[in-house]
Amino acid sequence: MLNFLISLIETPAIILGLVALVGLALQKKTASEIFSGTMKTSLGMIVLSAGSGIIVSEITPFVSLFTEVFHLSGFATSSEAVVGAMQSSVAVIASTSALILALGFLMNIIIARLTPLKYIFLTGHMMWILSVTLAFILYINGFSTVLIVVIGSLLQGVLMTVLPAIAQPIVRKITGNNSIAMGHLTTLGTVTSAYIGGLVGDKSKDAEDIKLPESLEFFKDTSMSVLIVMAIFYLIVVIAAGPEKVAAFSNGTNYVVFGILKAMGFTGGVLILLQGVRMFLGELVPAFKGISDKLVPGAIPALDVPALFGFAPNSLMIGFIFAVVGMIIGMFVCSAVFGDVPLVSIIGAFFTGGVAGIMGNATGGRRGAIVSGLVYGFLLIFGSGFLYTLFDFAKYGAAGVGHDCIDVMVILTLLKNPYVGIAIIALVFVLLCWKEAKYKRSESQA
Amino acid sequence: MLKIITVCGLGVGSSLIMKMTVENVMKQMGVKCNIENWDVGTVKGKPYDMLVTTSGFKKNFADQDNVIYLNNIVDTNEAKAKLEDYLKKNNLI
Repeated sequence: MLNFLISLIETPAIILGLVALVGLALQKKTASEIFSGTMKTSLGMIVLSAGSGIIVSEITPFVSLFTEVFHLSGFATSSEAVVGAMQSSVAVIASTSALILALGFLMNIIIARLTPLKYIFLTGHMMWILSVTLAFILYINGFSTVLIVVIGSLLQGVLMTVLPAIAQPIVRKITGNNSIAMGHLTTLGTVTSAYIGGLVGDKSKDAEDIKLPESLEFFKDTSMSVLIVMAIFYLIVVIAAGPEKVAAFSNGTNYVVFGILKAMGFTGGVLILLQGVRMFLGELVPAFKGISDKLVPGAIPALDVPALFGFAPNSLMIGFIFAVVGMIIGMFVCSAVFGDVPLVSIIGAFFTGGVAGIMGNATGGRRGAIVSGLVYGFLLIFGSGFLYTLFDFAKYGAAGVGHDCIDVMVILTLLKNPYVGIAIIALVFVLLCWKEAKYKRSESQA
Repeated sequence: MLKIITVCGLGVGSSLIMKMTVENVMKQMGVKCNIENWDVGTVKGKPYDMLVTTSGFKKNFADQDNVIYLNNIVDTNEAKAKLEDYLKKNNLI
């Protein structure tokens, strides 16, 4: 019996299913809605880990061939893939992260209720990445399971209000009001880049006045843009390696065809992973929102980055293009400095490079958007390459993949020494509370 | 029952928020519907009566007239005005 219960709570699919069950019951849904919502959440976690399994197995030949040919370690950059793989491989990380996700949300509500930081973080896949990241860093620092959950949930709740607060001054500039915030794990990168863009930019020349080619719209389609980028990298590697070396992996398939098939397999894995994420968040996020609506009056929803896209579509495209350029520069710099090569993160470039562009335009116009995108892309790859030298993700199941969320890189680096990291995060939290209270006072006087 | 799909780039973030907004509005109007959130890349071939997305995706659905574009995905007033208008025009309420 005890064994049965322990096995149950060690499975993130079941813990998150239970969280959804509680959330749905609190919202007084019907029995059939509660049942299907609970099951879909659990199924989503299963689909998600299948997707991350495919991603890792499809990237493995690339990593081996890349090392053989270039004598550097190459890896794909996707935080979703890293945390998905860790969750499937390390039971402690899996179970503690699921609890951190749920309890961290309660912390978010308590903080939003009691402090001036009124942000409710609603970007589910980012909450998930953050929860696994925190479980991982506390786990490798040797904390007990209970402490991982307690410290992890506290940090999760604090970070979910701190990050939107850091971005909010620029978000207000973009949206023209204070009704929505940005809830994403790329906040530190985009805000830093936009600040640098603002230093060199000229606000009077708005990027929205330029005309851009429509063909760029194509990259909004995630499946296509991931496939193209992975196909390019895979083809470079199989052609550089030649048929003999590839034969060790390809089981008789022609080496060029093998490269294309693996790129397609990787993309398929990303699509499956996203389907899993969609299923497991579909019930959790609305449940969270339902609870926070009741408990936190005047809450500001912190949303995924596309909430800002409509405000500056041109800057989005400029940010995307220059983020890719910055990433390619970053790849060369990483190979020279760290001896590893994080591949361009095309999803990162489009979504968050785009936001860097939008923020850059708000702080420094056309030139600001260009510089912001460029700096952001470079920071993302450079940070990912740096992180790869600090941690051995492969040891925890995430082989051949690295992070592409800058906040995750910063949080992991800070928490490498947990006491210093926690002290810094707490200090930032207090500072932001003070700043936000000051802003509110000036608003109410105006 | 009315079949609605909300769409964003990855199909996990903004589309889910839009799903909640639309659900909320439809409940207010008393219209029964089934809403799913999806990504722009693989939405082709899915059957639906109406699609709701952000104004950033206007070019992706330029050839369709059953698409509603939202500027602010959490603004129920905007969503209500646009949805009500569409449903009335097409005799769905």
